[in-house]
Amino acid sequence: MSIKTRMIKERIYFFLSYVSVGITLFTLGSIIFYTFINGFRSWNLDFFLLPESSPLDPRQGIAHAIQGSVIVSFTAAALATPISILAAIYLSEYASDKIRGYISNILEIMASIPSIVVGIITYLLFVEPLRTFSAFAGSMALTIMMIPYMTRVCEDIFLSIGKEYREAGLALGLHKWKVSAYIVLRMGMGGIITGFALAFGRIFGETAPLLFTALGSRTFFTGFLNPVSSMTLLIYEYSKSPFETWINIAWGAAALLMIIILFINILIRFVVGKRI
Amino acid sequence: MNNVFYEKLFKYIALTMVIIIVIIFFIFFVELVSNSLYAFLKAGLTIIVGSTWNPVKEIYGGLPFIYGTLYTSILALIIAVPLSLGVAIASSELLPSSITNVLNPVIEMMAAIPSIIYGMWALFVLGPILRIYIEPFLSSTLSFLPLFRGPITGLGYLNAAIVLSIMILPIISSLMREAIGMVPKEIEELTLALGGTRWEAIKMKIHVAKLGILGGMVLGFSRAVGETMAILLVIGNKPSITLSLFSSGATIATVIANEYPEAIINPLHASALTSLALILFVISVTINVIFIRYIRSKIGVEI
Repeated sequence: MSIKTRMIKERIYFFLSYVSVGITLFTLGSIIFYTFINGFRSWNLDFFLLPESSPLDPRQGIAHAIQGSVIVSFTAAALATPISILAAIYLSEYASDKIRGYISNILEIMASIPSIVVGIITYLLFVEPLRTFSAFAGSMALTIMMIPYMTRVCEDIFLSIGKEYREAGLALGLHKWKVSAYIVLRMGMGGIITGFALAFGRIFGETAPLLFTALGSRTFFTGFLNPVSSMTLLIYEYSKSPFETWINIAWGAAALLMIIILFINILIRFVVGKRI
Repeated sequence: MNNVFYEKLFKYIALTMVIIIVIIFFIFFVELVSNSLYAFLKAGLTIIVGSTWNPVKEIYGGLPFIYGTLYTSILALIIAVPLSLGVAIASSELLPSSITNVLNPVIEMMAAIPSIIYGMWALFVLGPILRIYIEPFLSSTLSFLPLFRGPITGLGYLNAAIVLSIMILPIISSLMREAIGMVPKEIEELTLALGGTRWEAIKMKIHVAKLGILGGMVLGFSRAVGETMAILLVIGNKPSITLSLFSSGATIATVIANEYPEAIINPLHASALTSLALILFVISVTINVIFIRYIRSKIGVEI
């Protein structure tokens, strides 16, 4: 091959690379653009303050779904976070290499379980015995989604903290649990917060595990043993519906969800970027 | 004395959390297996190899869903891999760092967008585009291929595959970028010193990084296999074993999402769906754990 054809080939491949970047950015742009353009149109005071009403009623909103999302996700986070942090402390500070290996296999398998399968299992564990779809079951599904992810993040952070810090603490006469709680945990705090926020963003946008646990509801939260709505469930239900009003509201909810998720992600990048 | 007590207390509380995780895991596994047992005993291997799924007549053949799951995921890979490789090459080799500093986080942010939003976009934006522009064009020019036959609706395998490919692109391209970035600089310098063009140097790097690139593809595939919400609205939810891209289909995840709430009153139906969930669990765990671990061990040796 002459150098000329090789140079032309190079040009073509470089061009194709740029084209793939272009296609990717164009698609991402299209998703964000349509969500915001269609979504912002349905934003008004009613949208944020009122619950669902008949599809013919122009005055309705997603307040019940926002409330449901917040309750279910924060309950899940409140349960999953202490379990994950303490488990990660045990794995990094106390466990032998062998046990740590077994547990990280288990965590890896748990993290790779598809979310719809988590939904079915949570149904079998918490909905069938209690005979009711419930906010509680929805929270449990999200807790189970969050634990493997957060435990692995925390464990990585704790393991990355140098041995000399622990030794310094021990040399000062601190007990091991104080070293864990005051040195390891404190030093890893920034990383834990980042991991928490990313995990929270994930479960906040989950739909599949909630389909047959939280189920969805047309009204505000009425207790942990009753079904509850979430923004994602509402988007799904309304997108399937034949009603123009509801489809517009679904876009509005999608725009709000997108802003929350992007905000979390950008904030983290900003904060993490600053610290390093 | 007091301190010894606290020491033990702290350790055992932490240990309890680990035990809770292990218990959750085993309960998961036991629930999944024990609840699918009924269907496996009643219907036997039909659940895996039977091609008819008709809950009204109590026939539970899961093959169309297994086929749909693999077909959409493979199609998604076919679309996503060349694009991801292009993005990875551009961002690791071609573009200046002032641009990639923005580009890489933006593409990673794609992975954070909830899948239901992808699903909505696919239904209301991509669907009409496919129906009005792309599918009529494909069916009029390429209809001699079985891929491009059938009624045009904008929904079905093609739509699902495109959305899946967009969803898995960020993870594949970022793993590819990392793999290419790990290749020693000498490889590139050697090729250039031997009179190679820059493209030929990049090709060498890709060759060296091929296991890491494969790892990215496998991980993307396993994501696609388990995805529910992005394709639930657009795949058409009709079990079918066909090559036609325009045809409606169904995957394991979508049939569970669609039928489980109604199946609750019929134990055999519910159990059949649970056994499909078990199959999905086995597929994604196999891919994720065994394959990724294999690649990881190989990379450890190679680099």
